Amino acid sequence: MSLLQSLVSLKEFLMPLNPKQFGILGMNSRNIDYILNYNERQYYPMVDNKLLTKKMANEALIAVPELYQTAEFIHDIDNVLKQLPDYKDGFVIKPVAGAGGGGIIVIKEVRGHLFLTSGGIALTKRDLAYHMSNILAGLYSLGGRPDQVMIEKRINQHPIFDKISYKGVPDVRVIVFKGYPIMAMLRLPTRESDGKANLHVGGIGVGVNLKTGMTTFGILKGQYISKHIDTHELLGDIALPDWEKTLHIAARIGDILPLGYIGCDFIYDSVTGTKLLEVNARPGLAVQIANKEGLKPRLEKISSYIKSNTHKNYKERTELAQDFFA
Amino acid sequence: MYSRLPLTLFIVFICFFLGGGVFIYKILNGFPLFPEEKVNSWHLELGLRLENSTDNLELRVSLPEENGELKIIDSHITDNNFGDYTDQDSNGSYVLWSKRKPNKTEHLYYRAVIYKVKSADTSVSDENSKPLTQLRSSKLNNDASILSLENIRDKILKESATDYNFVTGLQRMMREGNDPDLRYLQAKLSGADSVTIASEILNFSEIPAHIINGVLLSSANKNVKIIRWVDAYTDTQKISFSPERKNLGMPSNILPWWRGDKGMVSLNNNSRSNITKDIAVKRHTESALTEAIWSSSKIKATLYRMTIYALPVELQVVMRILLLIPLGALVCIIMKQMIGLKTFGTFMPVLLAMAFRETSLVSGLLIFSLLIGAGIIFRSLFDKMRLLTVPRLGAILTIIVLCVFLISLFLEGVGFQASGLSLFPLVILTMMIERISVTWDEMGAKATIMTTLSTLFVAGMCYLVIILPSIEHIMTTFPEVLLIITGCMLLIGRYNGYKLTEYYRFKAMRS
Repeated sequence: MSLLQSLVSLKEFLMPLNPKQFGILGMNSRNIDYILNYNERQYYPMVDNKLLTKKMANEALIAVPELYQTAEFIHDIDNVLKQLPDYKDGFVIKPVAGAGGGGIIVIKEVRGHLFLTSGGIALTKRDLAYHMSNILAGLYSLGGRPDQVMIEKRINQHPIFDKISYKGVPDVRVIVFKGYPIMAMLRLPTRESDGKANLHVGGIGVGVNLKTGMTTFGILKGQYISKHIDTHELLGDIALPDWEKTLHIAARIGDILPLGYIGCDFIYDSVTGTKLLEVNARPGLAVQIANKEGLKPRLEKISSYIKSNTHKNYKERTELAQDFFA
Repeated sequence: MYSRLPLTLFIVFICFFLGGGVFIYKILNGFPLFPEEKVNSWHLELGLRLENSTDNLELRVSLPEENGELKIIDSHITDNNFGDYTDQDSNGSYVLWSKRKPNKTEHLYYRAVIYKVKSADTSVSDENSKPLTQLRSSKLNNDASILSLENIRDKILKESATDYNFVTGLQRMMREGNDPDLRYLQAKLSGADSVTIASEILNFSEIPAHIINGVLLSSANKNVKIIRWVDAYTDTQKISFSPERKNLGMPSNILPWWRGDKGMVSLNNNSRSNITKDIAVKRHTESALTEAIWSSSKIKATLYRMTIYALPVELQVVMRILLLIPLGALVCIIMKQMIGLKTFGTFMPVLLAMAFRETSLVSGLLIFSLLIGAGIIFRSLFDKMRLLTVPRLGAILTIIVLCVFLISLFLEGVGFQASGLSLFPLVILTMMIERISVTWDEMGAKATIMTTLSTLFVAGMCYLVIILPSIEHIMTTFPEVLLIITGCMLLIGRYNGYKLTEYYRFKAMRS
């Protein structure tokens, strides 16, 4: 009996979980069956280049954070620096083709010569110039290609997130397949993630009920948690603002962009509401852990539904998805 | 959703069919699957580069000779509109190359396959093996030198009864090297090596002897050095020996090349030229391959031409490494796509494994850690200086090169061979240092260390595969295996199953 038990625990230790049983979408399957099949490489620049995404969103009347400045060459940096003290409410410095949330600096406040980051660090103009020159050289871009700098308006955090985010702005990732929003996750910055909401740098992922827009529970480094690690506030049962509208935008992007499998990131401004932050053509797999559910059954459900039904508009698609995956 | 699987499977089938077909056909024709040690043969190549030659150029180049154990087969001369004429004289066989109007740079090649026979024929029967009459060096034609030579002769004679013992005694005396008369001769013949002196003493003592020059047939080597030794002729036998060795005789895999004190290459007709010479040897141990050259079978000869042994030796040494790269890449692909390990740089582990192959695993890892460590320290220093990225990368690269230089100086100082360092992929190492530093800033120490360790682990696995002699044998003898490797890569390219790490990544969902 004890031998049997130890054999079972050995098996659990060696193979803690059979991903197939949970319908988990693995990295290879995501790449071969979805990204290679539905996302054609020629359209990648539309999402990899955040300026193009912004342009696309503006044309489609989708709200995005206001663009202040761009810099393409080293000599543009001086020009940009001159303007920075004017943005009293703060601003965000971003690489235009950045990958994985790298290279983003959020300036909360301009105080004299100093720029205060959301993490509370004071930076000088020279610090910012150096950071921007690193961005231009491609330090944060995919494959190290030369990049551009963009300066955006900083978002005023929605009060609903005040208690569950630590020195940074949370965002909501919605996975969109063939125009159907199929899964969503709220991403919260922590002390460790240094204001970033990306999970692989220590952010918290929180599952979201697609039907209601209510949060469920959080995941931090492979462990489920019910409270924020820094603020100790409950993560569940928070109603995300404008949930219906968020899903509608996500579904519309599925119409606008010729990409079949994407992740849309949204942020909430307390004054101006839901804004599209960026679109990702290679969205990560952690959303499955946060929702305690695999993507595969949902993807297959949509695939088979599309085969036997006529084309639906974005409102119908949102409603259908909410019913399917309630 | 449509499937690309049928097309992939079709191409994979073609790869397997062609690669496997040629592979099996070769085996059926006697190409060995495993490296054999019994029969040894070597490719030998002498390359000469002539620069700024005068008109009416004529040069005499000595050619290797056979001895009892080593036979020369399939030798040929490649030249560029040079007249060539081969002959023998008392110094051995040679080729005379001549050209009226040589170009600014000319290349001449002599290539041969050397075959080691099992039963050695050591009797001195060949007319050509008679001793060369060596005249005493003019520097020793004075009373003091002759007195010293007499002293040495008498000292050794006192302790030896036969010519054989005389040679042994001479070898011992020269190895000890503290005899005052011997030292006098060395001073008199400044610049001469011990082989020259031994030959002078033997000839003075009326034991005919001459200097002989040859090369060591090692497993694979470029820029092979010339080895010199003495052949002494007693009444009954020929004794080969080197004053620097402990015992008489020379290793059996030294190929004698020419006799006497002259150089391998000499210029006639007052012609002048800047000559660079390079000797390369490469061993292959496959009896079937050697037989393929021996035999007149057309099939075997054609198949033989499809191995790397049909290439010039210098290129073979490079090609051996090159043919192993795809295999390392395959290991890397399996580790990344099926096991799920993350590495810095796509094929960085393969390049590291190639470097480890030259340095050996342990010292390779040590050097790697040193370079990465030094790079990270300097990178954080440069980061404080707020430099532009590309100049900063250049500075790191330069520091790394400096470190490599210092490490090789250190290794030379403590008596290690540091030749493998040259293959360390420095530029890629620089990019890796940059990536490690950025990852450290963005993802934290744990992720960085994990990725570095798994990069090293994958490099180690690649190393363990490409270091196996049988794998190297298969890749060099059956290059068609590359098609099979391509097929495997295409198959893995369509693998949409889970990675091994994904069994752990989602384990929280179990609850």
